[in-house]
Amino acid sequence: MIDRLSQTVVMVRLNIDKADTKPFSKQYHVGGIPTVIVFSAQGQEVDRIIGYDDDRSSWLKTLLGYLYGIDTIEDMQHRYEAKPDVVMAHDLAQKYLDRGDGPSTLLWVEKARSLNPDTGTANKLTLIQGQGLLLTDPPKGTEALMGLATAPDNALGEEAFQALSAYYKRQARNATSPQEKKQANEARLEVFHKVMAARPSDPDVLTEYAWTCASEGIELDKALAAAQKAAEIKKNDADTLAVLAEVYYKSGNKPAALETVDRALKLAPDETFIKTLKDKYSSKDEAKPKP
Amino acid sequence: MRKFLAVVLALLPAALMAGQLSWHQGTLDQAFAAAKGQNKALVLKFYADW
Repeated sequence: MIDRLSQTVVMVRLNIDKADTKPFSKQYHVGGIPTVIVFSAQGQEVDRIIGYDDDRSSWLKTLLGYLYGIDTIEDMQHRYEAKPDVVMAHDLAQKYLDRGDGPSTLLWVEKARSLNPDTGTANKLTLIQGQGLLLTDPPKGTEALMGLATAPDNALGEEAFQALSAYYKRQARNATSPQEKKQANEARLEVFHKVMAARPSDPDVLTEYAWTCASEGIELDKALAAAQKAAEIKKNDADTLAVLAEVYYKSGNKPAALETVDRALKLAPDETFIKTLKDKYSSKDEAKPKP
Repeated sequence: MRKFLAVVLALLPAALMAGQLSWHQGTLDQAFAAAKGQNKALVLKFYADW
């Protein structure tokens, strides 16, 4: 099977952090890492897989399926034409969204809606629609997602926030000038501020804000307050403590960073990421924390 | 055909694939040209070190 696959596939990989890869990640609308895109021999995109799958055999089956034309956009559209189905229409909307094709995303959202989806699917379609609008009409899309993210007790709030945050993060990563990058980062911070004002006790929003500030070395006082509040709400959570430790570290408080990362490690002793933080804080030769 | 392929794919052990495919060493344009010239599909992976 390996020999047969090697005979039919050219495999190539690109590191998203390298400067010469940026135009490609923008061209192919790469929103998450890893993204694997399958192309035909003629260079047409067949389909893509976004993110890791812990079940490697499941991931491999998806990839091989695409190589054989199973469950690809083209395959699913043929099946939909033979028998319209609300779940398939939803899945096609998501696939077009992943591909960065806004008009097709919105078209399939409407097709799915016309088939009377249940409440859960209808909610997912609302979220996909907001993200589709980000592609076709960014101001309208950000307004729609911000509305969802800041509405009280909205089941879609967290996901809408994540979608907006990811959008501006991608804008910053794909920026072609320092000014463009600055604007995207400022817009992302504004999203954090508005969503935190609307959802002041959402630990996931607080930790993501704190981590972003620590990574960028900005608003460290507010980030520390946010990380401390998240740790109070989400007690005994290793990831939340790791974020708090990082904010302490970036704020120049190494003893507190070490004490906090030790607490995180007690909760998750095998977590590689937290071990890496501990090593960084313990190193005598570490770079000085940002002022 | 669909059912047959589904069964074949379901039976494929993941270990068969691990680390046994080599990456194209040229540029993306060269990889696309190679795929077209050899009538092969192209699998492009975007990744990061972090």
